[in-house]
Amino acid sequence: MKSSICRHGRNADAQSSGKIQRLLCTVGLVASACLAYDDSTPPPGPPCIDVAEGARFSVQLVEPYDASSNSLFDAQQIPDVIATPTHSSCQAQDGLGNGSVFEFTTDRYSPAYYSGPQSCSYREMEFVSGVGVGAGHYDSAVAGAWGKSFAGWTRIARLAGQPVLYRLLVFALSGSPYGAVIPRALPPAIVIRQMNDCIDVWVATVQEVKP
Amino acid sequence: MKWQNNLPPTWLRAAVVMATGYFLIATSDVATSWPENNPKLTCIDGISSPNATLTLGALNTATTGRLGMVSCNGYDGLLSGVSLKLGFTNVGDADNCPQYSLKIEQLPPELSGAVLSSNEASGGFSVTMDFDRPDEVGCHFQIRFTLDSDAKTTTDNTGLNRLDITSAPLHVDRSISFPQVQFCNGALGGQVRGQINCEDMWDATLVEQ
Repeated sequence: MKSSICRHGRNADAQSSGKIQRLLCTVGLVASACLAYDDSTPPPGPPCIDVAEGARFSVQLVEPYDASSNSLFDAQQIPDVIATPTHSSCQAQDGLGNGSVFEFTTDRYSPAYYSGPQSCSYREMEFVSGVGVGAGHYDSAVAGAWGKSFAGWTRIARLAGQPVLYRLLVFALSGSPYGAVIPRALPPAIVIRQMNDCIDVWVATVQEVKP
Repeated sequence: MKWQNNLPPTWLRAAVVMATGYFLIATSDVATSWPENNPKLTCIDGISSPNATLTLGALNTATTGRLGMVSCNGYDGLLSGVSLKLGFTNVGDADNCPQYSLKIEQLPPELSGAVLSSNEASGGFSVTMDFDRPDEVGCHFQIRFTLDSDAKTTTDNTGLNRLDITSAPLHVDRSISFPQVQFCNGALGGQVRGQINCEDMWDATLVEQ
């Protein structure tokens, strides 16, 4: 049985009360419209790392980041921001491998994805070049890692004409991505690239490209 | 209260069955006598001195070449014929039910350049030691050393489990875990990379001092 205070009355006796009801409904709607809008979406977190918008960066992939690396490998240093069913390599389907270089320009800070005390926002990438997938369209941001997330590109990209979940993330493990790779030390930067269910992680160097 | 067909509704019957099941399990022996909650004590016999010399004998052929296991090739100095000084600290009831904590009193010279960052004894004559080599940045490894016996556990007339470790042949099982073996110069032949575990097992003899 439907019930609503805003329904119209059907007979003469009800018509006067119907007018009152309509009046009350109007007043209620106006009052509710005047109340403060309660947006439960958390505000964007502060920057994970301060990076200027509009800067252009070049990233070179050095070697896979794992226990066989020349860099100190600490699995706990890899931000756990992507859940993948497997850890199989993407086998360079997008052309990314050791020695590859890609570039990007920093866009806005990502919107908040996770609202915790360590929640932070990274720079989203735009004008990405050197990656063998089509840009497709934007996909939701991933969680930021405090003091580590530098930049990210989260897309439903196109690979050989097919849509593919694509995430390209740059992290500065020690807070600054610009240093050189020193053997047996933590790498200055790592890149995580996910393509659907596969994932690769590389030691990387990051340089700002001056116009 | 009247129910259709003189039966309570299905949800209520299901709830009663689940509550009864929970009550039976929660109050049964299954909940209170699970092995992890009530480990049975084993008293160790056969050790009369806190110090002993352990000599490694032949590689234990019964376990050599286990699937996927590589030899540590004496990286830590442990090879057949090598002797180690062991210390036994009784941490149990000295009179009725001795139990021991094992310590390697003197490490082989191959480990002289390594810094011991943790040394933890665990039950069953096992000790786990973490090492770093300051002169080889990034070289970290963990040694797990276990002295084992073929002796069988018996039960005495008071119901206690007893194990006389010297009543049967002794064995040593030593494994080394390298998170990044390529940073430890010369480890495992120097040709491998990555996270590697190696292991060796020997027959052993124990001489008390």
